[in-house]
Amino acid sequence: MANFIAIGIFTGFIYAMLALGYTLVYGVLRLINFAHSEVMMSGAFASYFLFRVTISDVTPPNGIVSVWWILAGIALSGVVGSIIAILLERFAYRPLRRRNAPALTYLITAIGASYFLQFFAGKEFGYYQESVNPPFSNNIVWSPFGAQITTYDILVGIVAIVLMLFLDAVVNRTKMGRGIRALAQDQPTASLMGVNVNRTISQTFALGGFLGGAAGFLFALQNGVSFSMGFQPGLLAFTAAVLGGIGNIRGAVLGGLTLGLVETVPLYWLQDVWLQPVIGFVVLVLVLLFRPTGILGENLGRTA
Amino acid sequence: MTRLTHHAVMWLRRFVSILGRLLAPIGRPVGRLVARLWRPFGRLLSPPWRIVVRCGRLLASVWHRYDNDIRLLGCCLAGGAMLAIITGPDGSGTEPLDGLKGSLISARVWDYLIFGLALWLVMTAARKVRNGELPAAAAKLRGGGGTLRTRWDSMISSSSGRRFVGSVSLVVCLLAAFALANLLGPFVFDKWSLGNLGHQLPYPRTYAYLVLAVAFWAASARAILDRRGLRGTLTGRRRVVLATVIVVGSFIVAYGGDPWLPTHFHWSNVGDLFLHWPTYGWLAGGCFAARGVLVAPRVASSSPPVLQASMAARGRQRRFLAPGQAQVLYIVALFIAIEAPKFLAAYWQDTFAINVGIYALLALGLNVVVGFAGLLDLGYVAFYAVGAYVTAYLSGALPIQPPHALLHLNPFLIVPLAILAAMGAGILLGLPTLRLRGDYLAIVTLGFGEIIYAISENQSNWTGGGQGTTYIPPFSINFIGIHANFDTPITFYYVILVVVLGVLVLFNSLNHSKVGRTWAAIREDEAAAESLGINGLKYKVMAFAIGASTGGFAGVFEASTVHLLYPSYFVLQVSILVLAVVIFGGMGSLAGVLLSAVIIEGVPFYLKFHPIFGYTGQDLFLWLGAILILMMIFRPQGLIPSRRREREINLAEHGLGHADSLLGTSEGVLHGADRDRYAEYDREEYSE
Amino acid sequence: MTSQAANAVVTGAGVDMIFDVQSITMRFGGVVSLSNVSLHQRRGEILSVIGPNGAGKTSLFNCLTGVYVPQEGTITFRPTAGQSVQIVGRKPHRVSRAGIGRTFQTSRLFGALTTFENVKIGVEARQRTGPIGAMLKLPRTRREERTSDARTKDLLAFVGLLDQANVPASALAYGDRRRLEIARSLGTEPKVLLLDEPAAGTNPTEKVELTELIRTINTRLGISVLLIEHDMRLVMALAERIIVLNFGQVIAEGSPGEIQQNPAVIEAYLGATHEDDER
Repeated sequence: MANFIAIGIFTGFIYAMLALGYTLVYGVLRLINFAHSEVMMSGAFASYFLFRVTISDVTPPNGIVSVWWILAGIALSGVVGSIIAILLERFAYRPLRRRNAPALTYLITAIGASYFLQFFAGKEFGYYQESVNPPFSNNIVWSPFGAQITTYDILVGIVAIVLMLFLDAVVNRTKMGRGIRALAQDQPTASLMGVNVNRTISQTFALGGFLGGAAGFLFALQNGVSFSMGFQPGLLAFTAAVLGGIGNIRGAVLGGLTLGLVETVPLYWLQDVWLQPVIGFVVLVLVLLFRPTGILGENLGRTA
Repeated sequence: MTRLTHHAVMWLRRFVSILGRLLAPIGRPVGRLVARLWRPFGRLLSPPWRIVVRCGRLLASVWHRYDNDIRLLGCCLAGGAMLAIITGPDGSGTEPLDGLKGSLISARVWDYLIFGLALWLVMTAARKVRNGELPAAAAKLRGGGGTLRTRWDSMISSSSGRRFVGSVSLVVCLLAAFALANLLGPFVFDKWSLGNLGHQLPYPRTYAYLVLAVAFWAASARAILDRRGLRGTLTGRRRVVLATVIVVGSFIVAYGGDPWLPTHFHWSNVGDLFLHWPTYGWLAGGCFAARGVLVAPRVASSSPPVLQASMAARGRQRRFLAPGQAQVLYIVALFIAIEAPKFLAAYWQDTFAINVGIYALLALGLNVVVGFAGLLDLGYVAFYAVGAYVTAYLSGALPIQPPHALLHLNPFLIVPLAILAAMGAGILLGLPTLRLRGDYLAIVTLGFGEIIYAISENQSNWTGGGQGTTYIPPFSINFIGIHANFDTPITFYYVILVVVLGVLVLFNSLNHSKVGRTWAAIREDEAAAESLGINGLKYKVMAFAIGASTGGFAGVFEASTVHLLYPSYFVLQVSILVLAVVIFGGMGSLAGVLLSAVIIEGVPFYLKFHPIFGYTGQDLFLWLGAILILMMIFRPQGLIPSRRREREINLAEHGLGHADSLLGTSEGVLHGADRDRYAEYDREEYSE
Repeated sequence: MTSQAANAVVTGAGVDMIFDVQSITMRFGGVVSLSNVSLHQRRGEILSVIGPNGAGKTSLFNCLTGVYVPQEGTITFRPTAGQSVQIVGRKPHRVSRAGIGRTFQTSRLFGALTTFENVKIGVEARQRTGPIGAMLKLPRTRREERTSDARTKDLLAFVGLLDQANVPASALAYGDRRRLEIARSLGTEPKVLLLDEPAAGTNPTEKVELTELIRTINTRLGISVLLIEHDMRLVMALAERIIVLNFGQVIAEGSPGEIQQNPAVIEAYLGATHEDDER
């Protein structure tokens, strides 16, 4: 039981990081960025190739060396994620925005972009799954109440918390964050007040992309990389974002953790692993039906 | 881009200034030394750094003057490179940039780059002409167009010129017929050569192609001459001869197109020709055309002014085709749909029946949901799966057996039951979720599709799981005295053709009825529609139910053609594929959706067997993704746009109306109708 | 024309009331949009609601048409003398079916549909054709189609838009759009018509035409009219009785002449200037 809770929490952290990407973009553009799961995938592939070239798959490095590799992996994944997200915004969404296209058009473009990126990766990197050379040796370091907390779990927790604090600081303390919040509240007014709309939107995508890429790195360490790896976590992360109140940054974090727990803990009784995503979707439907604004309500501008 | 360079220059400058300050004690003497050393050469040459600076300035000025063109060039070249990568060899996960290397370091990349360059030239030229930046060139182009047209006119009006154009185009048509025969004929040669054309001669099918080509040529020549009032009248005897030729030609086509006759011609088979019904279709068509020739002069004398008037009217209406012309086109399309498969090889018949036919049906169903009602349904495959699995269940092909009474059900009754089941699933899903905001609906339906897939994959004691079902018998009718088995591709093709046509007719009248208008109203402004007493939810659920039942119908066909069902047939990709078909054809446009089903399903199938552009089956979704993006950016109304839809999209882009029931992108984030209410409240309280 | 007291609760006993609103209160979070508003409208009357911006006029309309659900109070609607319908808690489409037609402050036509189709949608909303009938073109569908076509044509002729029948609604001139919106809601055969600033954005000639149109609707078709309008000349020319709202409360009620004299109304409309003078 305790083990399931622990798994739930650490899965939840990854969902939360991904959900932040959905929530940021949604807050600013009112767009479900379907291609965000592919941002995550591209980040994961970046670190996969980095470690493939630099780290032996037999003996993982130890001590301070692994810390350096982890930092390098996060940075690379995050940056690649950002780049992909910015390109996506620039070439897929901006032409629509310039034309003031209807909402359906955006959604379909997002789906198209998602498929394009996914199968582009498939073509370039092969349509199969690969495991990532771990930059550290994964051991059980702590077992409270029979839960088995591994080095990986600790890593996920630390990285997620640090990045989320970082994002919170960026959105709430910096000029860039102020721009993002202004845009989320009222785009026309924000642009009249001198917020550069295009640049701010690019920055939003970059921020979300960084977290998405880093989440991809963490996810890949455990689950390996493949061209379609982003789909399911992406969908569940979106669920998490809705659960917490889409457009709401703290809501995304809360939603991610809640979803992680809600979909993992029942497995303790059910024993059917395939039910995990099903539980996620059922939760999504229930949330949307009974509290469509999520746990914390939706608004990037007000409660961020 | 400029911003980026600006930042880069700023940082560089800062860096250099700091460096300069640090290095000043050494830098100054060194600089003086360099200057002194350079002095002897200074008379002849300017110093290298100045050359660099001047080049930089030149570049900057060029950039300043032509930045848009240069950016476009960059985009076009990048696009070319992208195409090269997409069409290039596959990479692998073990060798990082393997695919990229294979694609970019090869001779073919130049083709794509040249393509990009050409694209850039055309686009830039077009833009400059449009903006009037190249007035002289524009005038010349327009003049050139004019002279071309006058040249063409003069050529047509002189009889020798007419003969020249006529004979050249006839040869082209005949060659095209040979090419078609070579491509599709009973025996296919991969390579193009004149010798192979000779090899096609023993097959009657080739002659059918030739006759059709001549008919096409004659019809177009007639149209061209008619428009200028140049067509002479034929003497009575010649008319009779021509009519006879047409009838004989229809015989040849009927023989060549008959799927049941042997591929080689033999006189003894001619009698069998009359046992097959398509023959009579062709003959009727031939007789109709012959009659046209016999009575033509009477009509022709009055035709030009009428034609002109209708053309003028068409210009005013700005329609793609006048109503009469559209009908003619539909008849031609129908004729092709009926006859073409018989000319095709067996695997093509299979494709048309299974892939094109079933996907056309699916797309017509999804078109009701997405195109008519403006709701994005990403879990459409679920209804398809429900239809297929209910069929499997009722035929006893699942591990879980139906009650005995149902098992020995008339196979024909499976169809309505499966449709009802799918419709029930649609209503069940729709009732709670259609209250949701449109973009949430997309996600929830997607989740629903995934749940159905997960169940079919994992509940193996119900569905057989990954092992699949056992054999499902082919579609058959055994009902009120009709006994027919549709177990060959061609017969099955006709069943699905009839169904698709029926659905087409029904949906067309639906679209032009009260229900269609109400959907259009809800799509644009649900609150206004409700103020007229329209129950928005009811109509949305209705669209969902109709779409779902069509999907279920397609599922029945799927089950009874592939015979063994596996969960992998019902993945999300199917929904996306169907969505791509609808988008590509034009949301809300029935003709567009059908045409796009033929293209999107037919072309990949063709490419699978004739791999050009390095296409492999796995690349399908790469291309579809690109198609979705490009269509949305450049032609959101689709291939053959529905006029209502096109207007809506235009309006939405000018900030009036929505064009879908996802509600606009600009206003608050509240739930569904509440959002509108609040928005209105805001307007009232804080406006002016 | 006798009721003068601004806050008198009129029960409507003995008089044929088409609308009877009893002390409704509408809040949005902390903002009170309508507080304890009571009003009534006689059958066949042209009643006008006026008030400064943000007084809660459109909120009142939205409560009357079921778009908002007020937290307190009741709204009784009597389609005919004998029947009575409770509006609070009904969905907008059911309110419309009960016999309340409305137009919107910013005209909300179906821009991509033609003028004819816009009106026809309103007419058809009452008909019973379902999807199956529509697909198969059953006899009843055809019959209903014919009647709705005829009625649409009549309505377009009535508002004078027949010559623009096949033009997309978005291509109409502003005044024409207003008239089309009225025709569209007349198509639903309302007993009362709620017009939300019908003259906004129209030119003087169009205003005169509109005044005539509203009067004809009231007299010839016998439809009661509830009118929100800023243009005082139009209100004074049409309204039999005027209700003044300010900050969500009824501050005055009476005939046009009485309202023009009422100090509270003058205060509400010119209040800001008084304060400025005092400073």
